[in-house]
Amino acid sequence: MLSIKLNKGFTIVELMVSVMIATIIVGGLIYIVGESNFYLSKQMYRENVKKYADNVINDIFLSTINANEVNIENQGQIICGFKTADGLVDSLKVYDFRINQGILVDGKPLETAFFHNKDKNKNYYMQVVEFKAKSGFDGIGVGSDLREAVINVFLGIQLNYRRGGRKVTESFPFQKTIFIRKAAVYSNQ
Amino acid sequence: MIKKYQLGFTLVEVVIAALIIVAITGSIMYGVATTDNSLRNVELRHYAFNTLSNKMEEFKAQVALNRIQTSSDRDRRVCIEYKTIRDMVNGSGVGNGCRTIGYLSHNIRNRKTESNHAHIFDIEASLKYKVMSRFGRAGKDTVIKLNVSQLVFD
Repeated sequence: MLSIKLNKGFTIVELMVSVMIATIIVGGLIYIVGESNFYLSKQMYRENVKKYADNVINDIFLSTINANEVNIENQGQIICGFKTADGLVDSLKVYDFRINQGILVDGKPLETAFFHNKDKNKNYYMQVVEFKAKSGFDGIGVGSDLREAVINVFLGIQLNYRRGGRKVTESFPFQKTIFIRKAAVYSNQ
Repeated sequence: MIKKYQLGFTLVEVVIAALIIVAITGSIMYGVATTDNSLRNVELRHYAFNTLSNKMEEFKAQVALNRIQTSSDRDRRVCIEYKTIRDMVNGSGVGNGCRTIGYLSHNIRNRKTESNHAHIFDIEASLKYKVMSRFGRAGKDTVIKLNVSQLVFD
């Protein structure tokens, strides 16, 4: 009598190899999805910082080119003075900053720009670490009128977010040169 | 009769499978590198445009106040991207604090007008910088330009 041994199904080695391959593929896919998710979030955070800085700088630009006087004497403050027809200063606009509140206009956060602060989300927030203005032309041989008419506004924003348990910090420097059309700038620099 | 069973893959099959895997992995890596560099180039363009518009503000002030320092200049080194916020505020120029350098050229021309009391100045400024190549190195030069005409009354 002829006896035939039929091998149906997989051996334990085949099963283990296929499980290992499947694990590697699934692990790789999870890693790729996780990475792209993090990458997208990071890009969104960066875009929010840039959008905030653009809005702040545009607001300062519009105020300073229309102001009759701009005072940058105080570090971390830009004061724009607007005059009436008789030459008297009748209103002021003061730009200031708080590290966790962003740029303030007359003591209040800027309405046109959204600042993501620490109170709203501890895993992702911005901080203003630098805000100042100084004369655009420093040095000997530059006319005082030119020195006073051009200012450089510096804005430094620090972005903080988490990756896993690790805290990541990125710094973003922004600079805008403004030619103050109408203003007389009073600066001690 | 003895029948010979061939189990497993032939060498040709294995080579073809390996080639397909290499091609897929290669194209994914190429795509990732290209996307990364495209994003970096967009960022560089943004920095370059900001630098050029800042310089244009300086030229406009010089023209308006009749204090033109140099009417024409070529390939002056300027910093378009600083490493840190402190480097930017300290104005470290094109020294150690600068991450990306650009080359600024400008030309200020007084256009002839019939009026004795008004002048029109044409300000042309361009900034040359290197964009990133596909694998992260500085590649070919790119130039961006800004032209402004300014009316000045005596």
